[in-house]
Amino acid sequence: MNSQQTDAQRRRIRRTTIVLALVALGIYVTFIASGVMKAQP
Amino acid sequence: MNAQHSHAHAGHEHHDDHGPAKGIGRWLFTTNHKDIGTMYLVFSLIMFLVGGAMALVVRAELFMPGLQLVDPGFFNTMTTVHALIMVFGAVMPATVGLANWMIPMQIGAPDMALPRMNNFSFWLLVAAFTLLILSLFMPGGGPAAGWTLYPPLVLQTGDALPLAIFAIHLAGASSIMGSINIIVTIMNLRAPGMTLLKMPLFVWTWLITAYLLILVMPVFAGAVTMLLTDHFFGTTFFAAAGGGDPVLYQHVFWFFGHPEVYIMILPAFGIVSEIIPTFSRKKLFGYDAMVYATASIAFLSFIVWAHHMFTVGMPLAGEMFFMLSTMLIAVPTGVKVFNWTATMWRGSLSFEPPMLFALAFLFLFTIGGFSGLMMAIAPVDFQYHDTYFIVAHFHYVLVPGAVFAIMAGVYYWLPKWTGHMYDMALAKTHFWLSTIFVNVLFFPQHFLGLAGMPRRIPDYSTQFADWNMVSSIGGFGFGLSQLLFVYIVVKCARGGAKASAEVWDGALNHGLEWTVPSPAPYHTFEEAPVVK
Repeated sequence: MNSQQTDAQRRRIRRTTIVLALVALGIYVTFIASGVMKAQP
Repeated sequence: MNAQHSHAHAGHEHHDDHGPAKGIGRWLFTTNHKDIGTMYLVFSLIMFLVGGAMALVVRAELFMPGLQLVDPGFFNTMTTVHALIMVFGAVMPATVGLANWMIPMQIGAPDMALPRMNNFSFWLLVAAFTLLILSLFMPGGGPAAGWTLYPPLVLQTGDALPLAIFAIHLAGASSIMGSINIIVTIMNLRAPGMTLLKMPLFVWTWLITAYLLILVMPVFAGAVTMLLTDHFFGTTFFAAAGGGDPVLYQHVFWFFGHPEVYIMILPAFGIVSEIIPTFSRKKLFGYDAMVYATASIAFLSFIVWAHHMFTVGMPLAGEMFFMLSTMLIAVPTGVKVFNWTATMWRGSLSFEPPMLFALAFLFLFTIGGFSGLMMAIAPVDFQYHDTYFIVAHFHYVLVPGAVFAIMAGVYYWLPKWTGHMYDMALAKTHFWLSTIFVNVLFFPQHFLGLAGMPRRIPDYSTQFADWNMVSSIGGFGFGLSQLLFVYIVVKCARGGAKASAEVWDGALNHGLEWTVPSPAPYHTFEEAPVVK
C-alpha cells in the first residue's frame, strides 16, 4: 500500500482485497465441488 | 475533463521521494507501476515473438501439402503452445502492462493500491511461462491437445501435463492478483471529482475486465485441477467409465473460455475509445452508452459458452438459447462500432500511426465479428465446426482486433513513456505491412474452412494447396513486419525528437495523463489533481 493512502483508504483496500480473493477461492471450490457431485457413479 | 494542472504538477516537483533504484534490483524489487507496466509490456513482446515463431513453424509445415518439416506430434505441440502463449503470455500481459502504466495516471492516483502484490503478480507470470516453455522438453513432448486441453486426449500427454497445469495455475493466480489490484485501485484511488462516469473508457473497460477475470480464472483453475486429479489420483470427473463426463469439461472450459475472449478484447475497446476521439478532435460519441455496452457484453459473455460446442449433441432448446443469446452480443458491439464511427463524423481527422491502427481495428475486428455471427447460427455451425473458418474468425478478432489495438495503444502512449517521438514514417510502414500481410494471412483461411479443411492438421488434401501457400506467405510477411515494430520501439526508447507533455494535438482534453510532462516522472500525482 502507498504511503499517501489514508487509514480509511487502507481499510477499504484491505477489505475489498479480501472479499475479492474469497470470491475467487469460492468459485474455484464450487466448480470442483460441482464436478464431484456430477461424477458420482 | 479538466484537471487543475498546478495540482497535477505539484506532486512531482516537491515530493521528497527517491527515483528509481539502480541496476537489476530496480526491476526485481520494483513496486512502481510504471516499471511494472514496462516489464509486463517487454515480457508480452518477448512472448509475442516466441508464440509468433511457433505460428511460423505451423505455417511453414502447411506451406505445401504433405509432411515436410516437423512430425505431426510436434506440429500439434506447436499449435497448442502457440495458442497458450499468445492468449496468456502475450495479449493478456500486454493489456495488463498498459493498465499498469495508464490506469493510475488516468485516474490521478500515485500508484496501484497494492504495489508489492503488483510486483509479485508480474514475477509469478514469468515463472509460469518459464515452466510452460520448459514443458516442451519433457519426455513425451509438450502439451499437444490444443489450448482447450480437452480430455480424454489431453490425458495422453506425457510428463509435460503436470508442468503445464502448474504453469496455468500460476498464470491464473497472477491474473487474479492483478485484477484485484486494478479493482481496488480504481474503486479507492480516483482523484477528487473523478466520478465513475468521468473515468476514461480505458479505465472502465479494464474495471469490467478485472471483474470478469476474477469470476472466470478460478473456473479454469478448477477444470485443470480436475484434469490433474483424473490423471494422477484416480478420480473420474471426465472419464465416462467411472461415472464422469468428458462433455462436462467442455462446459466448464467454455464457461471460462468465452469470457476469456472478452478479457482480451474489452481493454482493446478501451484503447480504441481513447484514440479515436483524440485524432478526431472530438469527445467520444455516446460515452454512457459505451460504458453500458461494455457491461452488457461482459454479462452476455457468461450465457453464451455452449456456442463453442453446438456439435456435442445438446437438446434443441439449448441450441436455440445459445444461438439467440450469442446473436444478442451483436447489439452492444454494434453500439460500440457505431459510436466510434459517429465520433469520427465531422471530426478534424488526422492519421498518425495510433489512429491508423485504431481504424484498421474498426474494420477488421468487425469482419471477425460478422464471421462470429455466421457461426452463431447453430445449424450452419455444424458445417463450420473445427474447420479453418473458425481459425480465420478468431484470428481476425485477436490479431487485427486485440493485437492491433495494443499496437495502437503503444504508439499512442509511447512518447509519454519515453519522452521521445518515434519515427512516424517507419511506424506507418509498419502499419501498412501489418495490415496487408494480416489479411493475406487470415482471409484465405475463410475459403479453406468453407471448403472443408479441418483445423489442427499438419497435412491436407491437395485441393487446399493454393490458399494455404498464400496464407503462409502472409504469415511470414506479418511475422517479419513485427521486427520493424521492435526496432521502432527500441529506437524511440533510446532517443529521438523530444515529445511535449500533450504529445498529440488536442490530447490535453482527453485525459489526465497528458497533463504530466513527457516522459512521465517516476512518481506522478503524489498530490491528487482535482477533476472538474
